[in-house]
Amino acid sequence: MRKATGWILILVFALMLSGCQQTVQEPPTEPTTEQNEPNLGNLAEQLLKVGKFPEMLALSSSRLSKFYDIEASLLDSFAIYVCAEAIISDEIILVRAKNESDIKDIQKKIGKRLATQKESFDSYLPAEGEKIAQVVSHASGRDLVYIVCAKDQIEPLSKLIVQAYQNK
Amino acid sequence: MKRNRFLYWLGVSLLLSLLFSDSLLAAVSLRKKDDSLQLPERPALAIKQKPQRTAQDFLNADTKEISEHSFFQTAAFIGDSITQGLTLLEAFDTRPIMANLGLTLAKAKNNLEDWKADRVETIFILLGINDMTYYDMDTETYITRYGDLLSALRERFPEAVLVVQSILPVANSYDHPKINNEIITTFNAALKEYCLQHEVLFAEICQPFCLEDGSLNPNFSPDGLHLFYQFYGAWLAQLEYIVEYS
Repeated sequence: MRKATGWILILVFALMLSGCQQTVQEPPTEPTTEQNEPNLGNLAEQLLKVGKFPEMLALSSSRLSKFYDIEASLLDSFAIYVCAEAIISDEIILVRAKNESDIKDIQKKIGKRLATQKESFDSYLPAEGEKIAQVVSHASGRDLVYIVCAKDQIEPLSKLIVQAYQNK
Repeated sequence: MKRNRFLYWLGVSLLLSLLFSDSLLAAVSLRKKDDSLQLPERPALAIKQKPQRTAQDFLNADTKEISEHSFFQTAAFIGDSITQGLTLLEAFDTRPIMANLGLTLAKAKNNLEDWKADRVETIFILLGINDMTYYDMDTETYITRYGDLLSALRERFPEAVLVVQSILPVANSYDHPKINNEIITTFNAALKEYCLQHEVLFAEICQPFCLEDGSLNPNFSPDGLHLFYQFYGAWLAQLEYIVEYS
């Protein structure tokens, strides 16, 4: 009888421990990241680290429609930063659509935003408008990448993006 | 005997008069006391006491926190690139902000018709620097154009409080053929006078951002003309203070 009770207790503890381990081993935040897709949050952090950007503000999902006219529900994940100074055009746009079929529409909307920004800067601060004209862009599957940055940042940031998508 | 009786009555009357005078005085003083007790309590002053604020107090304001004040929930803004920076504040996403890089007085007036602005109680206007840049403008023309815009705003928003903000001075290092602090000071003085005459609130917003000589502190500006985003809290704190205690 005592032996049986001992075995039951051991079993209960074993189950409890395995339960705890399962909780710890839950997959990270991005739910549907495929093998060839980098984590957009991590990529944005790398871009901010490598590139010389002014103070940038991260946009929350509730602000996507205001800035880009994009419904957050269409996106699987995103990392978007705009410059905190209204007179600087720097911008980092990393978006992953839920469905690849939405990519063209999203692309169009980002293009519209950049065109409006360019027009606004061209008559006021042409150098900032020029930065938008030379935007670094990359499309891969259901991902879109746009980076508006200083001219000397184009090369290192482009390399970083290519690497991020090659490594995956 | 008669003398004694006289003295007796004299003493009695003196005593009585003393007693009466004391009781009379006491009654009067009591009455006075009663009167004071019966006075209604002094009502609380209706006018808000204006607290003193230093430039540093404004500079300590947290931009995000102050942008969420209920005061700004019925505010609208019209301005140029400086005002455009307000569109980055999440709390202002629902506020009407007419702001463009390079916005002038005439363009702002033209945009008014299409401007979507409801539930507006206070309208803050910060314009003028681009008018100096794009046109060779004298003070008279400047004030006429400002007046045109204010009249149009009054017509569309008859109940709203209009707040005209002084043009921010530039840093001494700022180099532009048409913009300098001498012109800005002249325009601001004329604008202030106009506002006084037309019962429009004029808000001097320079104090926390300027050096003793009246120029913009270059530490607060990315280019000697605009404000760093981190100082928007100081700007908003001033606007709230000026309107609340005007």
